[in-house]
Amino acid sequence: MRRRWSVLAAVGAVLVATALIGFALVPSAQASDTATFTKTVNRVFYNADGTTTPADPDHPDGYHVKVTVSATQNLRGNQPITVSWSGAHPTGGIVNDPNYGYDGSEQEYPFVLMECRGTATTVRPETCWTQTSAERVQTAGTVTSAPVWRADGAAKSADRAAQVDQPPGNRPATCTVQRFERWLPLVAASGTTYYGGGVGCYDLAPEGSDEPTTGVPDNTTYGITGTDGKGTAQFAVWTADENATLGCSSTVACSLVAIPVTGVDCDPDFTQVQPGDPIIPTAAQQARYASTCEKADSYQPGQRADGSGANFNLATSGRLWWSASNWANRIVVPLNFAVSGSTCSLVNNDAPLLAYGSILMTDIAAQWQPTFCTTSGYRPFLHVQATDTQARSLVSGDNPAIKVGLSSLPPDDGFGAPVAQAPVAMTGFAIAYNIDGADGQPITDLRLNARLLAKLLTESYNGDLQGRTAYPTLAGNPRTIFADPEFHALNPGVDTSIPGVANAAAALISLSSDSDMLTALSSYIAADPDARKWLDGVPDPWGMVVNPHYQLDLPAGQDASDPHLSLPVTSWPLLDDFALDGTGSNACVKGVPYLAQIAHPLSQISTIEEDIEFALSNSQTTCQTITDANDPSQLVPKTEGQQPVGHRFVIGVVPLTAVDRYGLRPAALETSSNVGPQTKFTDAAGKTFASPDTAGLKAAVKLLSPDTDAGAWTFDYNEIDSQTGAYPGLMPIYADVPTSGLSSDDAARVAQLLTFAAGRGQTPGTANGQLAPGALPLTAGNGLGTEAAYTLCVARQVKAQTGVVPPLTGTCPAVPTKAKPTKSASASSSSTPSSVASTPPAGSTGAVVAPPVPSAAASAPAPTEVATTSAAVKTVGAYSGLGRWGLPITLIVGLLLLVAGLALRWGAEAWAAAKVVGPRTGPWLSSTWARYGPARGRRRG
Amino acid sequence: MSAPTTDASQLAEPARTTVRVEPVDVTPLPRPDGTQLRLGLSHVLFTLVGLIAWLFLYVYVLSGFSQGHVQQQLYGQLREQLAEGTAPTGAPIAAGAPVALLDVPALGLHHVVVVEGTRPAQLQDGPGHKLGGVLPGQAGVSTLMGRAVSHGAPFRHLGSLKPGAAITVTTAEGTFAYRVDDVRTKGDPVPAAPAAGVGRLVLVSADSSGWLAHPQTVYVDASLQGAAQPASDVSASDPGGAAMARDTSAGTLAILAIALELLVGALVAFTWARHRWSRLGAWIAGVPVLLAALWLVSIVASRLLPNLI
Repeated sequence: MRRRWSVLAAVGAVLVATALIGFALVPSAQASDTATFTKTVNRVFYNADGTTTPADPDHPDGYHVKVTVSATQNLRGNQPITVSWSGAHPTGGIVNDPNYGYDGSEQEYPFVLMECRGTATTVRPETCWTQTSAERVQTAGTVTSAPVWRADGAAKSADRAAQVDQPPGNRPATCTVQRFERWLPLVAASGTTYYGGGVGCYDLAPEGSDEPTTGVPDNTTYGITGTDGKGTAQFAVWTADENATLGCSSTVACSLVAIPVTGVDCDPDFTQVQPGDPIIPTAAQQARYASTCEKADSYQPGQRADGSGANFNLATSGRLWWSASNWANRIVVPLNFAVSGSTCSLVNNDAPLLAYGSILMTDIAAQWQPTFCTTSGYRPFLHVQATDTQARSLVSGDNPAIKVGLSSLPPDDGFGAPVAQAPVAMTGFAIAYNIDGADGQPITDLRLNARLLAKLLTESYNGDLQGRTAYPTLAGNPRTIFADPEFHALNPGVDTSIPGVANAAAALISLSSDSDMLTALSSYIAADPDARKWLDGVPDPWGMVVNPHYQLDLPAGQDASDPHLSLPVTSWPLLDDFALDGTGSNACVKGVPYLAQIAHPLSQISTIEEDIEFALSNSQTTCQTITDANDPSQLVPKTEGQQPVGHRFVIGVVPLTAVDRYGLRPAALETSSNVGPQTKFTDAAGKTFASPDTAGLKAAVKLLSPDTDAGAWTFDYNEIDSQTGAYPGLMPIYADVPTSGLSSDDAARVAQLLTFAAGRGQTPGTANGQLAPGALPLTAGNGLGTEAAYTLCVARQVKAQTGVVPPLTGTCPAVPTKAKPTKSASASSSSTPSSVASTPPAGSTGAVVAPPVPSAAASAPAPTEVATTSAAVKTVGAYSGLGRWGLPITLIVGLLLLVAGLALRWGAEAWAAAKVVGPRTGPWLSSTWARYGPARGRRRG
Repeated sequence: MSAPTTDASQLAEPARTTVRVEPVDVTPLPRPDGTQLRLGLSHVLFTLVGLIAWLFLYVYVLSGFSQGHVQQQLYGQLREQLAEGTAPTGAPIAAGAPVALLDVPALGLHHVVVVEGTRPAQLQDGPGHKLGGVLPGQAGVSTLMGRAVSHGAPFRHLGSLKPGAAITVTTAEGTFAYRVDDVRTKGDPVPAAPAAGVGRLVLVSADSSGWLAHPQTVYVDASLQGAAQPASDVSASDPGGAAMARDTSAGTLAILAIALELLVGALVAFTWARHRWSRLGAWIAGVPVLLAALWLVSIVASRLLPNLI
């Protein structure tokens, strides 16, 4: 019996241990990005005898909450993650902006989402971010008030005293000490403690404010649960770059804390406090606590707030998210932040190689840079945003000011020096939008054509001019794209009502600076026959005309020397000059071209991305008082700001990589139409559209053709209709690099960057060192093998600095041998320079040679190794430590265990037997056992 | 063990006080005997030895049966596809799908089915076509990787191939004859990339010359005799299928954990049945279940080993 059980126990223990090891390994492996958490939450009331009663008789077992988070790995600043939940208590007293803490926390039963510093075990309310004082401080002045937080039966006795966690030291005179005070300080990553407390009291954290924000909204979300118990929210995570007080980074652990607010567990009789504790109020007071804490809710589930801001049930509101009752229900989702490029300055003293130029490179470089400064053998580089034209001109000439320029187009007049344009990424622009449909839900499918984009860009919609004053030039034009029948013909599912914020739908948010992105966008418009005809001055089938200031066929009487549009452009000009006379609320825009205020192009691409992510209307048409409302000079125009959820309409042009990075939605663009330019249409029949997905980009690659004179591949906008599904927004990013005049050190670094870009950097993914989603990998499979091979060829030419700009196609020119040849090449190694294994010959499929030859040939420190291209590359092979030691060690361990097991099992008996017969038959065995046998064997008797 | 003479029942007897006059044995009680612990420990060790023996048995023998079984199925599948002309000719190809038939008479390989992908799981089924290169028979470099030790070890004697040895590959595009150029290991020169329109086959496996230890890789380059087919679309290369890659992805580990739980469950059920039900019945019903569970664990666990072993 006992023996069998011991066998079972032994086998079981071994296997369970193995299984546990397996489980333990799972988190260290690449975990799936989506995460789901469940929790049962309940609200109870404490009776006078200390027993509890469920607060909600319909849910005596509580609510079974399930939370799903779309991404928890490799997070970057302002990245939105989708949080959806089910099974929660429906929210009542719903407000417009669940991200403005003051209002949002007044909702009853909100689903609170906040970012907190700490892990599941270390997170506490003090390290959770909130914007306003009201979310952290509760005060009450009169003796008869019975603050709800004091009735919290789940709280420690000390936290139920009249005054809790008061700020130490002398209080400012303007901050009155109240009879009841509950403070929740905010502890910053630096250790500083912020008490807040409202006007006259203590400071809020620098990022905090008691006013609604006009820019990027707060990320603390008082999420709204529908009457079905479900809800969803976009939560923009913050790193230390966005919120230094919170201070989250790849090294400072942070979590997303979800608190399904169910209300305070009321204990008005203070039964959970030790009897006799002086904090226990009198019986008369206790009755008041029962009335404040166990008060009925003010709103039905799903009911909107009345706007008074006073009529809500504090006990079930989001205000007391920190109360022990609510905090105990928290669901902590650990967040894993990607190492950001700012790490480079900390871990690496090497001054980075600066690569100036293209804004399209921003998100791609953000993922590449940390790899360069944290991988041994690599030296850091830094992408510096600059206009493409500037990058091209700085890298031109005999003494280039920069080592690497990044741009998407060849220069108009050449570089005037040997500069090669090596493709490092294939991406493009997207028309991104944030639009709500008739049902208040976001629209996920939008189709646009070039004419609609032209209408948005040419200031041809009236915006809120219509209704304020008459602008005769645009009298017959619609107010916004939402009122344009052409828009609805292409997007039949979109609500036809005009949204609350009209001006945002009258213009496309665009860049004010030069950018190849605008050149590509305007080239697409110029190549479209319908758009072209409309820009020439022919009204569209519904009678809308182009703003004459933008007419391509100059109207009669206009001098060609006046500012006018000629496509394509490097930056979009603002040509309309109509201004309001400026009275009353318009005072701030007096004498300012009004349609330009509506268009309001931005200088930073990041602002455009934020505007679309957070639905911030960019039209600078509202007047803000600085100090004195009666002094017109004190009025300044400001942007319209955040649009209410359900009534959003923002549209703008962004890099394709921003679509995934910021959770934006890109519009499909028209590629062909067999409907005549003057034919009214009511649906998208006869038209084809392309989306900026992999298929759309792959099809568009076929429209790229090498332009030998320009030294780059150019996109043929006139042939878009010939290539089914080709996304017109495709744009390459070239590294413009000089092949003469660089120091050997700089040349090696540039070559390393190019080698990385053509190989290792083209693995798609969101982790550092991978290619940001939205860019098409430069691989033969995507039709970009030639481009990748060319970049490797340029890398070698840059390294050599012989002034050779290799031809786009054909074999890579030989690089002169600078060192004596190494050991003789094998017979099969030809002497053609293109035979370096890591460089597939241009024009071939770009197939990769099997053995992992050091792909970063240029990263090898000695220049000779790169220069001697005719020498054979050596097989590197793969080494496996497990393959070397795994089986032998297992065998040895097995044999040792066998010997040990035998000794344990039969050793004693064998020794005993030897002892008996030892003197006669086995003296050697006996003495050996005596010396080396197990201790047990030496036992006498 | 026999109980000591001072019996607890005597101590508990309260009625009378017996006065003893005879000599009393005051030698200290013997310490608890360690036999049980010793035997239990030995059983644990024997179990571990058994597991290790199973590991060797599985790696060298049983996994070959697995591959043979899968190969037979794949062969039927591919033969049908070749006959119908539906076998793949370019990316995308599902991982693990059969792509070609490989014949290497010098290695004793006859109609071995090559599958798509070179992750450990795919190489359990047979030699794998490495992602990121063209298919055999096409212009460019095509790489096939195979195991040298376990799962039938199709590429065990790869290093012994002589230049000039024949390799035949059959795909949907026809039958292609290759001649071995050379065998190379670490430090040997890599041949130049093939010129445009020329096909090359590279066979990769672990170097099996050592006894039990297989740390290095061995490469065989072979040139296509005759005209190559034009290169087709190529899938993106797969870091999980690099030489000597191991599969420690969360999915595999999760499956392994589940398989182990299954095994533990089967053991518990077996032991229970042996005690409470019928000893013979438990053996008859339990052993196949235990073997099946152990086999499942082995299949999954062996993906943690390098893919060329």
